[in-house]
Amino acid sequence: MEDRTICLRININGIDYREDIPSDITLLDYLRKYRQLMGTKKNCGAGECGTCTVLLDGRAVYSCITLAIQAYGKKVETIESLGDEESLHPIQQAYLDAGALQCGYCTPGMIMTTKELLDNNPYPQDREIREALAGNICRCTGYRQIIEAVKLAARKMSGGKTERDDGHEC
Amino acid sequence: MEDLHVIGKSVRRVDALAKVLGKAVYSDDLVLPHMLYGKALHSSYPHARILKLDVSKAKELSGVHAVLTAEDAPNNKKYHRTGDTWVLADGEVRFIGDIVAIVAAKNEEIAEEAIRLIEVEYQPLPVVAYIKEALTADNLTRNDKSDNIAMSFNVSRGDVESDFEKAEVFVTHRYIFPSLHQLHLEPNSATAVYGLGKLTVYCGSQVWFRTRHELAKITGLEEENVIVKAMEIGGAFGARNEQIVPILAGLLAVATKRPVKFTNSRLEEFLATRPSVGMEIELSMAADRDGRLLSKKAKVFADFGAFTSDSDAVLGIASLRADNNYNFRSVYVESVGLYTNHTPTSAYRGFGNPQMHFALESLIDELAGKLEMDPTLVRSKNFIKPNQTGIHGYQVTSCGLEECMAKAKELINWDERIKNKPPGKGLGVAALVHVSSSRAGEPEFAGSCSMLRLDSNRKFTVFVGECEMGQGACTVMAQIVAEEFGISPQDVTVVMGDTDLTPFSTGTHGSKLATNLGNSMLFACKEVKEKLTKCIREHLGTGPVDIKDGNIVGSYTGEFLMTLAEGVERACYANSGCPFIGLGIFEPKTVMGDRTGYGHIAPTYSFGIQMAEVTVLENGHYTIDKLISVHDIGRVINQQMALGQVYGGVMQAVGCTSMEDLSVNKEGIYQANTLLEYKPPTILEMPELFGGFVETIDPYGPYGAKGIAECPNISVAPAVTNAIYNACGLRFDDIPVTPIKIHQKMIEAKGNKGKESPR
Amino acid sequence: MNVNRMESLDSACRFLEENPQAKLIAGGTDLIPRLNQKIESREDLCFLDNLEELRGIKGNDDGHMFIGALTRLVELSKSPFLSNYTALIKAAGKVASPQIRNQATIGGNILQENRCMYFNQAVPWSEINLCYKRGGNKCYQYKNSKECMALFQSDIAPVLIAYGAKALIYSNDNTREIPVSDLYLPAGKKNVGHAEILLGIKLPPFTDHYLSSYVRKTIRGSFDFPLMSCAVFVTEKNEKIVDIAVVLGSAGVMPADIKDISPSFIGKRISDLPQLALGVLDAVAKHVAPFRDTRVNTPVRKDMAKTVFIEAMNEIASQN
Repeated sequence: MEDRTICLRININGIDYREDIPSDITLLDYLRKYRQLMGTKKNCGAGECGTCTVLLDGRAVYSCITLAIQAYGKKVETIESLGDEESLHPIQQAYLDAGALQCGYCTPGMIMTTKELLDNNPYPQDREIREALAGNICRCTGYRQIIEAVKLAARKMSGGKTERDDGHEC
Repeated sequence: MEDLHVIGKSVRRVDALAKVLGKAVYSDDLVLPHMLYGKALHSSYPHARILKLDVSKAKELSGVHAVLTAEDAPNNKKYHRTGDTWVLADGEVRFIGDIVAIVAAKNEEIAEEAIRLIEVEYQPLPVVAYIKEALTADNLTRNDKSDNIAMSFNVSRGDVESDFEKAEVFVTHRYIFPSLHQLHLEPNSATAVYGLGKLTVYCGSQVWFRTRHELAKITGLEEENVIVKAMEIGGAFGARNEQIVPILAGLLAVATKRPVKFTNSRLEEFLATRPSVGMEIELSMAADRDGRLLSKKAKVFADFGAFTSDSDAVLGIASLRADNNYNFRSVYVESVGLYTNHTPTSAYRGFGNPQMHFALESLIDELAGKLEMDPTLVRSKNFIKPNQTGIHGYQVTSCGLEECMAKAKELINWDERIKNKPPGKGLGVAALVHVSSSRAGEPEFAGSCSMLRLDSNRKFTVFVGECEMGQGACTVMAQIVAEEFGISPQDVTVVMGDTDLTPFSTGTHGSKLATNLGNSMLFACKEVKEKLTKCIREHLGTGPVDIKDGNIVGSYTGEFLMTLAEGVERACYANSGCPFIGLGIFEPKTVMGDRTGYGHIAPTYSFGIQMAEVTVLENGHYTIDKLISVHDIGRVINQQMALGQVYGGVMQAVGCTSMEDLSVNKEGIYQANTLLEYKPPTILEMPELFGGFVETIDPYGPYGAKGIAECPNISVAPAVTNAIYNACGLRFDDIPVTPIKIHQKMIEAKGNKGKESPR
Repeated sequence: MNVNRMESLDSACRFLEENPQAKLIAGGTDLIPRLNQKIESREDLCFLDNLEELRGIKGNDDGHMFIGALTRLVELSKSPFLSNYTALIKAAGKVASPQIRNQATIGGNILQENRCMYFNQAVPWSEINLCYKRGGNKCYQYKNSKECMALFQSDIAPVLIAYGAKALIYSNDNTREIPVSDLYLPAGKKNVGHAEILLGIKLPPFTDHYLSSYVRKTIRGSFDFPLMSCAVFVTEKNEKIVDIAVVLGSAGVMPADIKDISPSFIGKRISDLPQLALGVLDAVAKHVAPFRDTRVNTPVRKDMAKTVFIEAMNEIASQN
């Protein structure tokens, strides 16, 4: 079998890469096999669960159904970009504090989707949180503590401010 | 009541940091040098004879290192304690996920190409897809049996016939609780390494030692040369009680002498692992006019799929356990486990209990309706009480059913709302009983053993043969050590499941961790404390000392002498470098259950009440608005984690009640074999969830704690279907409640107009 | 599988001409799941992301709105140019899940492959009793059917048809413009030649006299394709109905443009719509093709069609 290779230029977590890859490799497989970034998880391969969610130019996408070549010249952010042991991202801290994870398999994807939400909507209401996370399945937590984590993260990231300018509380 | 510092607090999970950083290492995350990739060829038919199997072309493909069939694994038919299962199909295929051959190759693409090159000639055989078909025995599921009955038994307690004769009220109904998929998000994966006569397998499992045993049995290696190393587990819910994938990886590693990784696709998870046991239950109950339950008769038909695995134990539990919640005078059950040509079934959170509770709690509701009694009062009238023995021999000690009922009623405002319901709204209730630890495993014994090591590096390390699958086991262990020594749980390292390092465990199931493992952990802590304080006294020249709040203090004066860390280090060096090792054993006085299943099979039992509020819309569709889930789990060790278990278990049950459906077709194939069609609930399906606890302080559990793990998944379905009935008079005895079923019921109701009315 | 990045419309069309088995891919959210699931395989994909002609949301001089085929569904919801086309915004906002909407395109959505339980959940390693779509000779939906009867489940297509939108299709010879409703052929085929590329959609200019609604029914609130959906577009004058379009989605192999009920509404008051709707329910349900699924069957689907139709009409009336 000869698959054509293609030259990929991509920015992953702030670092530029340029390398030859099989043209048909998915972004998920590229991240896990070529970049050894194992934080993004593999499950359904069909865009039906969300464990593979990464940010592509700031938008949450399913990396399992995105070809690496579709990310050519773009910025990809994975869970590894958020923080480290010494300095957690407020979203990671909030998930810890709210107990919003159990087995942890959905967690990286869930956190990246949370990041897209809070980057674009700093004071989300309950309904907006649910709609934003509707593309991420969790089997362990029953979602309630995840919603609490997102609200906690929103408060942390907005410096404790809880109201939007239109007076809605989050 | 002691003053507890860490127990009862919502401390942060000790495994959470790695998980939020994306640094937890799950089985498929492991990459080893020179690793090969394994793939399986599955059967093209749900039932067929294998006439020809030619792997020569696959073997010749460049990059392929091994192609194995049943011929290459002569012991492979001895898989599972029942010996009823094979790993590689031998001469016949019995379900669509049956594995005909496995391949190890340089990369996944070559492995898939090799699979395509394997030539198989099948002779299709008739398919037995449903319980009904299996019963008539017109067609056989398997060529090694003369009928489709995998097991059958009946159990009788008291005088059922007489009680039914005397009954003033009688109800009967038939229920269907289908096979479900656990849908743990992480597909099964294992990497096996064989070298220098030793086979090491890295995988997730609920049964590390059973996995080791099966690996040894099937590869023909001695068990002391097989090591199973624990990886992080992405959910299990009973699905990892049986591990095929590590066996496949192990076989290929031994054949190739290279590391081999084998990871299931999501489709293989649906079709080639072990979904739960589907059951059809015919139930009858007899009661007196005051609502006292006299007797219960049940006929249970269970769908085992192509092989018997833990389905036999599941059927046993389904047949008996739920009865222990009520003071029946007599009980009769007749149970049959049947072979069919679909994926073999096994354990799922509740282990048979959700199935029977659905039937029982629905029928009690019907009875309440006939008696025109409040369903909460009918239950309360008949609940088992603390320190009573259940009809099947459960010696209940702590039992908070009454308190749970009171709390649940308060949370949903039952008394007020049941009388003044707005149109379209309905309330439903269901009770549950479950074990807090039980006996299962191979070999089977009741107890657990924990090891605690305190070393010169001041490190507390726990070694246990159980697993962390998200339920919080390692945090609970860490909390216990932290409580006993006055340190932070984050300073405790928990090693779980490495078969070279940890004590043997029968497996992580039966909600056993809190009681069994927790108690053994307490004893291990006690032993370490004794050894440490003795060593400090003898070698450091102090008087008698105690450990308090992370410090060494004088026993009589309470005076601070040194920090615990300093004491450990100094004592260790003063004692020839010997670490302080404690082995704790908790051996509950339980029995396996006699031939009739009678016996005190768990050290203690957990109880709960589920309540639901639904709105039924004009066109029959409904929404679940609120779910109240109140549990008696003794002392709550970690409120935040326990609530997480409640919310998670309840949401899984929301799934099976209203949307999850594997949809077996007449070919014996699960049609809904993707997440899209199987339909696990998303965040948008989450109703208002209320979790609550009644702390009964059990006499046996560590600090009075009992297990919660499986409880929240039990009895949600009948609470919801009872609420739907309460709202609109349509009774659903067959889940999930889908638009087809709603539509069908509405048509029936139009035909029966006037005969049935809601409360 | 080779993924070929196309640099221009012409080179893309030529590549397609020279490679009859090649397939276009835009967002990939329709095709790639099937490839990953191994129920479809391709040797060549043509990746269109670089084609600027397929991008953009812009108003023409004549007031028509052009939406490039590569416009992501999430952009539809955010575009200020489209805010009046409320049914389109609603439909685009309900497709699948947020991650899909961030990647999926309007072109891909309205040209998506027809779906059915048997095909999309087929076991790729089993070749027994293959259906037409898998190279066999039966259809599981209709006994004795001569062709594939898988459903077309796009949310957006019914809305565009109700709006009277046009599809612009490019080939190396010419660009043709056809009503979106003409994109759909029997057996799930699409009226876009192998070497043709959908450029985009032309929406009619929006006036204050337009009202539109879209209602869909699913099991779950996310991921699920609609079991049934209804798009309604009303032109009114002095609160009376001048023109009406009702299109059922997921009812059959193509969207069902229900023209025969229009006379019941022309000239009537918008506020009477909910009442009038009740009088034509059977006529609407007639357009529901029989279809076997695990959670819905034909009687239920007919009921659902009536429900979504009534709700869509109620939505129109409440907008007035």
